[in-house]
Amino acid sequence: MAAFWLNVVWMMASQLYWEKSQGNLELYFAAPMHLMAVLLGMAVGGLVMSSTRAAAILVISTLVFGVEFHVEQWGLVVVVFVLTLAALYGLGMVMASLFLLWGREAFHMTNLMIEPVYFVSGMNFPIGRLGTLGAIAIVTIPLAVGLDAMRQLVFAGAPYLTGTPPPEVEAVILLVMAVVFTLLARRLITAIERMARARGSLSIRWQ
Amino acid sequence: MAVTAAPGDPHGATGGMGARPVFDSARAEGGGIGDTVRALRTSMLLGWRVESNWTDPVLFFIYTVAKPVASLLLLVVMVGIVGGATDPAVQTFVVLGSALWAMLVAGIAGPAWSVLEDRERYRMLKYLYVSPATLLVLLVGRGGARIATGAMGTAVALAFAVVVLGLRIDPATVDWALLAVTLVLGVVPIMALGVLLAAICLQTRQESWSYPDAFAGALFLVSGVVFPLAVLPDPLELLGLVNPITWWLAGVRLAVVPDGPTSIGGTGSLWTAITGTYAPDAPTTVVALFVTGALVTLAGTAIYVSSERRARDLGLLDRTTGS
Repeated sequence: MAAFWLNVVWMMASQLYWEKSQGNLELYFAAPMHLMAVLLGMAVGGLVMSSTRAAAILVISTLVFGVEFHVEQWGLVVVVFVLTLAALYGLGMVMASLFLLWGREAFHMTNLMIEPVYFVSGMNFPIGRLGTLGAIAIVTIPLAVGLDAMRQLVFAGAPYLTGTPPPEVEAVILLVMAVVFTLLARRLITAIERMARARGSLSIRWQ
Repeated sequence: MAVTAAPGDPHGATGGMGARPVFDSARAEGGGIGDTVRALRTSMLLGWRVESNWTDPVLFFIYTVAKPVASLLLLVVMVGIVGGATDPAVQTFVVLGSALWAMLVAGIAGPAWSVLEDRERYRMLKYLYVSPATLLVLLVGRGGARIATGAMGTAVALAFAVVVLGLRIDPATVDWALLAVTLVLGVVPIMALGVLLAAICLQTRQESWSYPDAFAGALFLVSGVVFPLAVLPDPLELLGLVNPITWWLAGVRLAVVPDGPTSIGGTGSLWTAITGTYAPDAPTTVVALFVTGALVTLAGTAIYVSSERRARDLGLLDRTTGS
């Protein structure tokens, strides 16, 4: 899942900031389509690219390190995976709109969303061990809830995966996140585009 | 342009009527130790300002320390969960490795990202190249600023570990001389690795931004950052032994916690098999750091010089790709 998160923060959230720095952002706004459509295209492209990386990690971990998966509900695995990606890229669209406002903060904010988010999402350990912090992460960060749901499903019955809702509940949380983030992104992009036009900051480079 | 009196011209360049200005190429080329030090200082200051002057100090501080502290927590919690009750010696081993790693990543990314930022974003690389200072000195200076930022993160992460995580470091048992020597000697190969990556980035375009992270990830495996080299297969362990970062980390650990676990030797390690000793002592660690560091520095510099020449010949210094 780290591959998808990195793609969201580097190639999606900060993409509009990079485009602004390179002087291309005006072209995005001048194009005869909604910016959401551009972002959706970027999401699909990034998803395909990240999938190859994720697949490579799965293959290597299975063949080299002998990781064994124990899946009981394949259908739910697929549903949770798709919902996780939808929520992640929805959040990416929200962040992309915020990054339109920022200058160099965007780069540092991107850095800030890697290790700290890995930690509160339980990237290297079961999130249930983080207690309240983990619970907050599960209802706010798609990576946290998606990761935990996937773990529960592909390591079914593992004794260390405790203290979190069952995967069915987490799938519902992901569904809500996907809808909320997408709607929020649509509103934010419109509002921030208007604000940026008024401030004349769409074409300001290297700030 | 510098003009001076020609030899034997008593009037000087601005002297009497008809005085002929003479171009002093030595000054324009920025030769000499004084000019080099001045260029280094200026580029460090420039690097620091590029990094920090766009925001207020509090925000910059948060950005700078959040990453190393989170990295530290990620590893400490993981080790605590995997290893059950946390052994203080293991915790210290992991904390020191993780905290120092932040400084290393900043250091090796500095020169490479300077090349990419100045070429792709600010389009200034060609102007830096034709300035009197050599590009290598400017890149080292920019890298130095990033190392300073990384060192700040390392210091805060260590303070956090002591205050919040209860890391026990006894100042009375710390070998301060060894710590100082190791830290100073370690900065040189870190910078050399950064220069090596800058040399690569001078030649490459798309996706070059991720090279420092990718390189650091590979280096993480063979440096004994959070686990001893003994757990690796022999070829990788050997690679770790010729890696100056391994000795840098081991030297700092040896200085801070003299009786702590070793990342180089130990039961089943290649080091113990070859030397017959359990772990390298302080003098051996310093000598190994010096020798491996010197080799990496020489190699990095030679590769950089060759890369810069090729970039100039092929016109790569101002060829931007929007990456």
